[in-house]
Amino acid sequence: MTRGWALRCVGLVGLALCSRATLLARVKDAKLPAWVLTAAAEQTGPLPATANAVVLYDSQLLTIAPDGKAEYRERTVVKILRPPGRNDALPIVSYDKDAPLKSFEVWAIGPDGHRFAMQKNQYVDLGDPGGDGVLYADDRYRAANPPGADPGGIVAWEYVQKIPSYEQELTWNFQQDIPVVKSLFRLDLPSGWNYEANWFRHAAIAPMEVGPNEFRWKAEHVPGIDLNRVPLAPAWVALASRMVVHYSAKPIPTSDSALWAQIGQWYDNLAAGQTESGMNIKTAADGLVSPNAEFMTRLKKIAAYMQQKIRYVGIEIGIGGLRPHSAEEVFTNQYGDCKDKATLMISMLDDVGIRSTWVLVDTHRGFVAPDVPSIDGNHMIVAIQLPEGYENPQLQAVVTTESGQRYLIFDPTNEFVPIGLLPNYEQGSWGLLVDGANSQVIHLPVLPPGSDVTEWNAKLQLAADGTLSGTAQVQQAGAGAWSTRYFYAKSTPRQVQDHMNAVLHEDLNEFTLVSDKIENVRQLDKPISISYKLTVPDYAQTAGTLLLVRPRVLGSVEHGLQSKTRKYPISFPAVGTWRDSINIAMPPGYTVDDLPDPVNVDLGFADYSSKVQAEGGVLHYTREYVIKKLALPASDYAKLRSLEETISSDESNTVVLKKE
Amino acid sequence: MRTLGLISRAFFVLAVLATLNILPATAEKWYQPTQKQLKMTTDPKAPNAAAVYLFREEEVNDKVHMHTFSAVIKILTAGGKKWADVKLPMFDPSQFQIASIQGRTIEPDGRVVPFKGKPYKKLIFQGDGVKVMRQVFTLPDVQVGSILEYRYILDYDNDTISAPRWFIQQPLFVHEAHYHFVPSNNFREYTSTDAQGHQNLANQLLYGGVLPKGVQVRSGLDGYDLVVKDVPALVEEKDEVPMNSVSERLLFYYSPFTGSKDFWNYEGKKWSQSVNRFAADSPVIQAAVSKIVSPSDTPQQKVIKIYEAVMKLDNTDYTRTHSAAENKAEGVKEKNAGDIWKAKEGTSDEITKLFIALVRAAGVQAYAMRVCDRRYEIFESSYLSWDQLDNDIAIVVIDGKEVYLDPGEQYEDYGELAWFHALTGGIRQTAQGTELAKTPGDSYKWNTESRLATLTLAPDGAISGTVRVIYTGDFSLRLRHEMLEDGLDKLKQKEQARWNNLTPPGVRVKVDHFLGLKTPDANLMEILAVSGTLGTRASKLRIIPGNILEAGAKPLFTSPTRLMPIDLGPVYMTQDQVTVTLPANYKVQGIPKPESLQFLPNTAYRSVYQVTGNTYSYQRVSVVAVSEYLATAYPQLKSYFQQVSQADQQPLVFKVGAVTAQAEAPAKAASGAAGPAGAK
Repeated sequence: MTRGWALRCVGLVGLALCSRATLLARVKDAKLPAWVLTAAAEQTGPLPATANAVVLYDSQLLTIAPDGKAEYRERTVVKILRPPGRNDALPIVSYDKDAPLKSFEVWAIGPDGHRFAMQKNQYVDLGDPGGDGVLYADDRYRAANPPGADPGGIVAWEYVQKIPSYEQELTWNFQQDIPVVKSLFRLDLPSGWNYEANWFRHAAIAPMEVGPNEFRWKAEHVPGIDLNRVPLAPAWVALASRMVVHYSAKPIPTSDSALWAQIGQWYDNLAAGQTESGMNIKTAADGLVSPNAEFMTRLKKIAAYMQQKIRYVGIEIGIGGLRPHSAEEVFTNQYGDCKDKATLMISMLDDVGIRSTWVLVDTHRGFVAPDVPSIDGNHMIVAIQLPEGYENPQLQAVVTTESGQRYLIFDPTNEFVPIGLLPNYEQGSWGLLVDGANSQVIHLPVLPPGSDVTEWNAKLQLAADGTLSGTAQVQQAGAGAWSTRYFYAKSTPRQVQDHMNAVLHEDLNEFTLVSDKIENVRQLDKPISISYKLTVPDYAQTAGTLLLVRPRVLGSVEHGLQSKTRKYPISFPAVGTWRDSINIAMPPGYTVDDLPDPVNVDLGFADYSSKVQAEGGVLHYTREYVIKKLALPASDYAKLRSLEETISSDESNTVVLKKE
Repeated sequence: MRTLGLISRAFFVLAVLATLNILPATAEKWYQPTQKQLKMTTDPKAPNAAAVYLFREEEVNDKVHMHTFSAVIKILTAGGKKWADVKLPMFDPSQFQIASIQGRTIEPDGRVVPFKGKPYKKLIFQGDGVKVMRQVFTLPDVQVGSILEYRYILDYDNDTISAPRWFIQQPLFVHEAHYHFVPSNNFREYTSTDAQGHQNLANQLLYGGVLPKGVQVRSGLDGYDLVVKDVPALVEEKDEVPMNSVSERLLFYYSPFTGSKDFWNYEGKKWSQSVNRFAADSPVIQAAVSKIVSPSDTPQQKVIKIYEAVMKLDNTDYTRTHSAAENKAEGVKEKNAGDIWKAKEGTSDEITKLFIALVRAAGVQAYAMRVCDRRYEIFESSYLSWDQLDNDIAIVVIDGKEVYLDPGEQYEDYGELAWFHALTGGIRQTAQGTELAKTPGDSYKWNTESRLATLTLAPDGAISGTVRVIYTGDFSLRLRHEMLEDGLDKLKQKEQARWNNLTPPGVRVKVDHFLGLKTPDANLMEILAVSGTLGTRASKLRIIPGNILEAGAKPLFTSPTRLMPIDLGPVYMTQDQVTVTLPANYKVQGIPKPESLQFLPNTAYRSVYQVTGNTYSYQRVSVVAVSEYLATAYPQLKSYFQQVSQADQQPLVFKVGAVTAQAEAPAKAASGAAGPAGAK
């Protein structure tokens, strides 16, 4: 029912199977519902040779009673085509206290035609496994291990669930990771109620009015989306077609912008009270910075407090998945999830004279779309109003709303992206800026490649026996450095040592790490810097009288693209710049016999250049790789692959030295 | 009759309890940290730690049916803050409850922030009459330098007693821990259920385990006490032995038995009886065996034929276990070996017992052995738990010699054991009854990967050709099991990724097809198509890796240090024979040096290289004949594998002459290559 369902249940399926391998199915040739038998007889049409299973039938019905109470029913029939397809035929549904299950039933037809109906006591319930900082969520899952689930077998299930009264939209996910033969969505509204449907990555399908104010949409032969082992793939949820339907007794805006505003207004009403701060928060905010201090000083102090002091802990119960805990509670506990942190930050900023608000986003770039207004998302960040005319080059993640108001977008959950920048997994996404009736969808900025820089610098000496020694340093600046900072901040000394050795072993076989130094892990306004002093025996390889040296000593920018063809768009984790400057002093008595040719490639979306020069007994290798676009169409894959081949070859290139 | 929680229902709970990071607290008073503890930012006794236990305490009073736990944790790094999210052990709410959760955070300045939040009851699992819950909570205002303290009570009903399992070694370093156990006075009124489902009255209180050096359990009228100090943390390392089996611990048992020998004799006897019942002779077995073997066959021929016959059955551990009702609906009974034979399907253990039944019916002596899976556990006879044994294997006696067989591992070769059933302990049937035993080790000659490559290099560096790889033993088993579990497409994808990591950058390897993938006891061949570009070009030279099939491999170990013992898994031998046809305009400038390395007897590497005319060829052999090493051997082991890696990355250097028509010919042949010979 929600997209989170399909993603989260994956981990639970194993538990269900392990724990309940002996689930009992019912008696021979049970009576099956007509819709199961009809679907089982459905012709699948041509399917890809790689399909492990196919959804023969998926039917969703949303019924709204005149009093506004909503109920959802889903029926699914899956045919297993190959052994791994068993995993696609595991009935599992999520529920919680606000959305209880009214019924759950499972049937199956074995490959030999035997019919099974499972009984209530054969189902299992599983709690939310948590993880990623979520300590407790009241989501539960009901699951079954159906009989007859072998290739050729069919599994069918139906469940009915109450929809919480605070939900006013539902998503029809008619595209899945396996092919779908037929998917139906039916909306049964009371007289006088309204609906508005929006389509994501699919042309609008016209509904049939099958009853008074009852509508049915149908999608057929929908291909599956399988991103398994697809490098640089966009998020699955950003590719799968879906329809979001809003329903209400009141008129629903037909324009996207008005609908976004309505959703934002609804959220504002839900959460606004939570930002109210008492004396504790005010005192703490004042203790951090005076309300009279310069704007940037106030901003930095509050941001640093939120990032460094408030621990991320998720506790979500019912509507608590949407509504934040109160700022006061978050402040007292000094922990909270993303929306809690955003709420406390809004409150503290307000105490020092800065207005800010929530931005609802999703960390899967491309999931939120401006033409599909929806409350659905998985993350909350903050938009901070900039004073009129205020300019500061540090503040790069700035958006301007329709009214001309400028906002700095900031994510207080990420401890390692400085105020002014935005985590790379949020750049280029869309989000809902909550501002009462002025709420609107905003495009989160993509920061320039020059703001996200990784640089390798090395000063090394090569000996005649091939030993390379000296210092190398990698520096990372910008939002993209957050994951490196995170690792070094959270890891034990041994984990750091192991990691460093693993990194060096990517490019060096045997080496001695004489010393290392890590600087500026938490100084977010400075590049994080990792320096190595090392000795690498046999780095240069001998071939007769020649000495062969790879001038690109450390660090690779390859993405590892193997496939010749590409079906799906390309999504880079980030735009950015990668630079190398490596100096290698040649052994006395050696001169250059052969240098690799320089490389210069400009593809528009990316530039790559490198060259090796010899001067004064020193080999100087420089290169620069700039990725300028976050996403490319699949049609650009050939260009990208050609660039990858160029990079791969360049990274392996060798300088040949000979003895004078 | 009252139940003994330990071995019946409570066993599960305590098994879970013991693996988590809870623990005991009898004290009414809170822990009083010293100034030094408040201010410490690193711990010299645990220099790598993100957090340490300053103190842990567990008191078990079975007279009043209660365990109390407490823990005091010092946070040393930002990564250590995660210990503030406390997940208490899972429990069965029908029998146990957790009460009196208290906690607080002590800041480095001594300020105390009490836990006023709410513990959350989380459902873990519910179904089939079983419900498992866990409580979670998080402590407030946690910063680096904070000291976390919490305690709680595990309470259980009067009809249950629950002897403690003290897992002394924890994921964090423990400065000091106190344990106290007051046993039940009337434990002889309680029953426990054994592995075969029989109920027995408790008779003795036993205990055993692995204690830190010099530490002893004190017993007296007031119960049992244990005090430990400075217990190193359990760490996770690559290729380690199952640490859950070797960590320091003290386990108590209310037992019907007088000791370990008594326990294993009793449990072994019951198990053996159940095996023999399942594998009992019957008309179905007799009919089956008469079809499989001929009276004139030698005992070995009979056993091989039976082995091949049971390998053809559907092993549902690799497909899907059918439920009892599903079998009933399909008219399938699975109560004994005859039923399995008729159904043509069964679990690994059922197929093993069927094999034993058939072999016995053929007049050959056969025994069952129940063993630990070495990947997950190490057999410990002083640990009185049948649960540490995972699978059945078979032992047949041919011409007076015992042969260990693994018919339950689908596709396992005759005469071999899956590596995780080799060199492991368990209990076996004998002519006299049962006894504890160890399985023989596997041989590197069982597990081989032989690669034969015929490649052509074009003047522009384009490479093409075919690699044929023959797998035996555990190598073939791995591929066949992945095929059963994930399907052929995923297997191909995984293999492709593996080969592309092994070969040099620029070279692309595609899995064309397999031969013998579904044929038990036959060699498995993988046919790979090679394309892409090999080596790099400096203007006058082309440099290619000498060992094309290993040049991309990374050293096996990268960590500079090692704390735990090493288990490399299956022993093995890989052999390469590679031939590359070179362009005529390539003139050799440098060729890799032959290399011969040895770490231990039979763990060795050798490679030789040759250029003859326009053909480059090399042979490479790598043997790892010993899989288990102490941590002290790590530096040498790491160095050995680094030297292997270094040898594999030696270059072959050619001077590139002018391209002639003759030299272009291989290039055209290369670019026109449609794929490997025999590819379909």
